[in-house]
Amino acid sequence: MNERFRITIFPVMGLLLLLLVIGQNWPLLTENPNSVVYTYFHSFVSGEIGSGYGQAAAGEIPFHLLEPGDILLGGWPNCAYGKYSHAGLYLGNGEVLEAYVDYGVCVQPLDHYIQYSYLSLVKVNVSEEIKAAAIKAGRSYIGQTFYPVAFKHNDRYYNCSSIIWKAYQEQGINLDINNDIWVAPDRFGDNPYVKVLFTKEM
Amino acid sequence: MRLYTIQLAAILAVWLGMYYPGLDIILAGLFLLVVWGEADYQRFSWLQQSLIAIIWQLPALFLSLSVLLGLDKATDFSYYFIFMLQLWHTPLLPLTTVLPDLLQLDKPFYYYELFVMTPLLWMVYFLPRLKRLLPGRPIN
Repeated sequence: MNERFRITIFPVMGLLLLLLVIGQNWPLLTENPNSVVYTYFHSFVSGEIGSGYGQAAAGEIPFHLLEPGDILLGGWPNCAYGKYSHAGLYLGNGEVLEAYVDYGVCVQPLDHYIQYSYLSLVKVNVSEEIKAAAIKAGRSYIGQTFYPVAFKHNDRYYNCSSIIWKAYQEQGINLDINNDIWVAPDRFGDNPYVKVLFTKEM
Repeated sequence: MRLYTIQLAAILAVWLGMYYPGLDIILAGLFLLVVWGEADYQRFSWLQQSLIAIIWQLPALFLSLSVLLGLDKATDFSYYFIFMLQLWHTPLLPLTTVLPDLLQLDKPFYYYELFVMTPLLWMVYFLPRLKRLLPGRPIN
């Protein structure tokens, strides 16, 4: 492995893979304003790159409306990839399946969702059996690696949204109508399988 | 500059390699070979090589120490420190995904691995020099 090979291999591979991935997903980048690629690209151009920040919205949250298998969405102003920056799969008994960089795919208490400026409780309109199977699948990812820009079809990296998408995808339910390369939390509030039960904003 | 170029380009390449599962693991292995090769071809002094190693991993050192010492909590962006550390170590991340998922102290094994990746890279970067110190090998 000579000196020139070592310095050029990764820039060349990076450029090649970038062209390949963009080429395979060109319509998502240019034609679909609901795609996370399109949203993030345009946010990036306007200077927004993170998950946003803000204060909790006041008021009661009717968590009792949730059934196991439903979805929680939380968000901050200035989020670069949509209105909501975070998603969780409700497991029942006050527990939510989520993913964070320092905890990987993990179970967290429900009540931390009160901290968000924007909150949605989303019902997934499928049978209890499918929801139970989705929860079982979701639990099997606990401890897996979190990666913020994980491609959704990769089985070794997850983010908060991709675990939910995958848990339902394994039951034949596609919660990403855009068929994007990533899943953004916003997609769970906008597809034929769901009904928004409650929304709160600042 | 060579190691920075290799590291930054590898972050992009390995991340995009995740789109084609399996390619990311191959690229992570290639990254270690390239780092090894970088150490093997130039005969720096111990001091020079140590300085290069420290400067090369300075972002990871800063982020790791900030998280471990809790200095990140003094900012409004504490969450982003560990986030950026993970992005910096993207070239090695695929190797952690093939290791067993051992949960320790409420955090996954890969979280702790993020903090040992810099020493691991230094080890790879210094091993060729140690190899040269073995009996029967020329010493510079």
